[in-house]
Amino acid sequence: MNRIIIALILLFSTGLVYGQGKFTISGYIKDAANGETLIGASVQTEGAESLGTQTNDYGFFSLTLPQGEYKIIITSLGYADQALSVDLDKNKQLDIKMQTGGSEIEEVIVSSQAENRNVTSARMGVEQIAVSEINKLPVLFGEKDIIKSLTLLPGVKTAGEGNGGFFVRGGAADQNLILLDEAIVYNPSHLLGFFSTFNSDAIKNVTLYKGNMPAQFGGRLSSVMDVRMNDGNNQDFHVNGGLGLISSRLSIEGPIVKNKGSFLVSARRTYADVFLKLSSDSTINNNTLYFYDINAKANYQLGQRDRIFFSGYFGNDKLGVNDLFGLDWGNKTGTFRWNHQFSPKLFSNTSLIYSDYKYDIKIDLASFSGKIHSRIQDWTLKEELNFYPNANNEIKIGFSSIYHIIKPGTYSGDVTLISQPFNHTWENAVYVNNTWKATERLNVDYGIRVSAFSVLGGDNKFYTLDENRDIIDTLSYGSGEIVKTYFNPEPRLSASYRLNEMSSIKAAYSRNAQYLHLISNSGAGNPTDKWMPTNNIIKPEVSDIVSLGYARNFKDNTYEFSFETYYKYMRNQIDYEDGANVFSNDPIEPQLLFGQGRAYGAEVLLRKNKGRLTGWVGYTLSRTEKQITGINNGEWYVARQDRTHDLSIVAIYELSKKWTVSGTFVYYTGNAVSFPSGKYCVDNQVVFLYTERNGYRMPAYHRLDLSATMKLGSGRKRFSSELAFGLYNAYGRENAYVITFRENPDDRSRTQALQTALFRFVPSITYNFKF
Amino acid sequence: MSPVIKNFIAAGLLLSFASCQKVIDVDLNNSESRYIVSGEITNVPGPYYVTISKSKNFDENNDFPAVSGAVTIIKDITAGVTDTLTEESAGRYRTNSINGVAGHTYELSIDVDGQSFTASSTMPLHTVTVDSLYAKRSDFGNDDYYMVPVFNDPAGIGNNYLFRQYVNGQVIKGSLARNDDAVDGRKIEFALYYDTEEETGNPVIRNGDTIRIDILSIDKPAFEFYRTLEETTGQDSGTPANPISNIKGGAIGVFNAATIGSRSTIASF
Repeated sequence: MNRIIIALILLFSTGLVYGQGKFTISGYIKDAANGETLIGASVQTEGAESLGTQTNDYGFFSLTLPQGEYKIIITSLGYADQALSVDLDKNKQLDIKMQTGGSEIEEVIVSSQAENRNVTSARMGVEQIAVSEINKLPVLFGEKDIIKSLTLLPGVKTAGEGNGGFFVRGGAADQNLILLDEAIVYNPSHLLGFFSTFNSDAIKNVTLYKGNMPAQFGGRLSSVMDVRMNDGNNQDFHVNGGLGLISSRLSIEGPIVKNKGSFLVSARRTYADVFLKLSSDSTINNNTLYFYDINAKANYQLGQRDRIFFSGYFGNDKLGVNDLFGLDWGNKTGTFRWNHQFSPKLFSNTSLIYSDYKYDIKIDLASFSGKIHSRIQDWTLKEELNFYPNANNEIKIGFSSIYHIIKPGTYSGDVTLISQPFNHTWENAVYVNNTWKATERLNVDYGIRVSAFSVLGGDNKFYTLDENRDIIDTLSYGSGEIVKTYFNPEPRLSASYRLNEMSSIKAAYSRNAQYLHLISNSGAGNPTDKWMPTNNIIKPEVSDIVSLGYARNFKDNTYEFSFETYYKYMRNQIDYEDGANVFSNDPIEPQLLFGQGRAYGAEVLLRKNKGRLTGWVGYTLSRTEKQITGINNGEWYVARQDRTHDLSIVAIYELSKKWTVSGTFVYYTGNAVSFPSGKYCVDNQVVFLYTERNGYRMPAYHRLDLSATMKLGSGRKRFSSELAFGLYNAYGRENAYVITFRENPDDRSRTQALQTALFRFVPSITYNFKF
Repeated sequence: MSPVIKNFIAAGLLLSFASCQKVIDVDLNNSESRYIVSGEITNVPGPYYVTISKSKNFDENNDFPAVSGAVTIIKDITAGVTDTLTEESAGRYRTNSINGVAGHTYELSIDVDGQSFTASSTMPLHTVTVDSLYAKRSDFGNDDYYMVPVFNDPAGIGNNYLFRQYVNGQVIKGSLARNDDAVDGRKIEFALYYDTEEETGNPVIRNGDTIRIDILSIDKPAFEFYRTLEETTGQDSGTPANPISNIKGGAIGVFNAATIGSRSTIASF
């Protein structure tokens, strides 16, 4: 095994030369105030032929340079630049502490080198959004929401109001890999989608890869949303929190041992149900409706070379009607990580991860009571080595092994259904990726991931279907026995060529494979949608995506412009047949249909990063189609998530030291939907006739949100607070949530269409404090 | 908390939670007219009826064109009896002699305008005995009353039920079909919720009303029709579709051989 790794490293370290007199500067870059390691901070030498690197997910960097004297510039978004003089005559380990840049009005000097990363980086389709930026955006009910903020970027589309899902470049909501400290989050939404599972108080960094992900990621077709939690302040104890209209939150962080270890605990709870109690309507005031979640993390530096982390998340939603009916659901994740520095050039991270999603339905009537329990559990072991052979190559090599246990439905109480058998599957992958600075102008990021998915036997049955999808044979396998293994090589390539200091062209190709599938006919991401593993009938979904782009910065990187186009082809797409009984206990396989999908589009983003006014304009023109035998007569049809136009405008303006105002405007083409094209009478009622899948459009959606944040004066030194005011849907647009058809109640000889809109003018106020 | 803030919050929540509805114009396509067939034979003595009509465009009125002149035959496959139906009124065909028997399989065939449609349905052996029927206030807190029939499901999964409710002789719109997957062999005593919104035109149950329940035991293909019809009329699927008909030949509809258990009572609460 070691020999193979060395051979692979050699293969991938293009131009690897162990020249004489080279030394390595390595170390960590941290926030001076709280000791948080900084992800993606840039370390560059000053001079004409600048060499450099970026910190990894743990704030580590390594840069190997010929012996000599260097001026090193360290930059990170939101921090003041730092310049260090280094006399490189031996390997050096540095612990660099960065000061926060403070207010943008103070015109912090930042060098252009880090800021033009969108021009220099080989990667395409990567979006990063700073948590500080998210905190300034207006949101529904004043609840900061990472996912809703990401959907303001081109190529990322919200699944709609009251829906926690999002669509990336034409992919379905289940084709997004959502990771919280590397643990898979199966359901990213609270309260049926009005809020996201992520509490931004506990979040350090969010990166979204829109299809062209590096080889260390895999398992989903469309995107990776990589969310990293804060480590906790290792300098002082701090408390921060917020009181909102419908929720409150509190975080406590501090050192375990100063400079060596820290912890963070952050919790939230909504109390919308308290207001339900105020209602005089007895159909409302006895209902339960709330969620809470807790993020916790601790880390400890064991020595110069080792650091361990524990992090966890626990969230739970509770929905109940009069104690008669209850629906609870929630995610749990736990991650243990061990960072080890083998040498200044070789960094290792080992992760052991647990991930859990479950829901419980409870019915408690006088004549009948019962429970349904459903759960997915993952155990993951991951190992990644970051190898920095020289200033031009950064190699990542690793493996991941996930054991999935899916429990589709366990019944108890008076329910006479036989509990559904558990599914066991094993998902493995090995990968190697190199970030290669080929020439001064050409940067290439290339790698390969080989994934293998093994379907394991057990209590569950494996069916053979004939051409009419009727079951003709049923097979069982012993527990742990491998029924079938699918292999997929997934090449990943991304390159940029710099035309000049300020502009570059980019190209990328990726193949992705997906082995777990969310089978949903609601299209709305219900907590009870079914996750199904690949088996002998359900094949792995595979996609190929090609992207081309152009990036250009203007006015000393004040403005950032990018243009990207993509074409994506997806195989083995899955859908329910019409009329499938999703609640039945019958085998699901005969009810599934398979086909292909294609998505293409163009994305434009213009950002302003500096000055009192910051923000962006993003626009996407796109098309997403599917072709599934058995749906729409086998003809191509537009997918539900198809959006011709999607426009977002985000502006944040710092009025004064006290006031910051912001606004967002979104406009998008309505979802593709199936409306009736006729009607008939059966069973004493008018029924509507459907002729084609998704042949119609919802009306275009647009909305303006506003917010204003006022910093409050404070008598005490350490205490600071602010009031955040928000107005969601400022001009009260009645956006169609759903359109239904019915008999005209005033003239029963006619039919009519009825539009339901959810929210008009939702004001919010939140009080945030920190000490 | 000051009253001003409290009012503000209440107003805010009211504004936010009150969804607003309005009638809009949607430009819907025209569709090719489809044949709609609906036939039923039960263990209650006949005559039985088959109706044939056609679908029409959304923006037209709700007078659906009757299909006349169809040669309509119901055959008792088990007993080898054939009955050619008589067109009693336009599009409404009546049996002449046949009587439904539990356990028998029936076949419907229709020839009209050069089209032919066939269907087959087996009348279940079991007939529901409705032990009691009463009206009960909603468990979910609203002030409406709903029928609760009490009956026993025979042991063994595979019983499918269609519930038909009448208030003072007026049928409640909405198809309600359930099977015994989750309640096999149990005493069944559930409130039959239906849409009581005024717009639907459904009657609400008042004290002193005569309420009646028909519980039809139906076969699996007929159940699939009513189950998917309920989804179609519910309009809450992301991918709405037409119900799964048991009529072969391209018509939408159902031919349903069913046993009926009934009970009537006066609602008193």
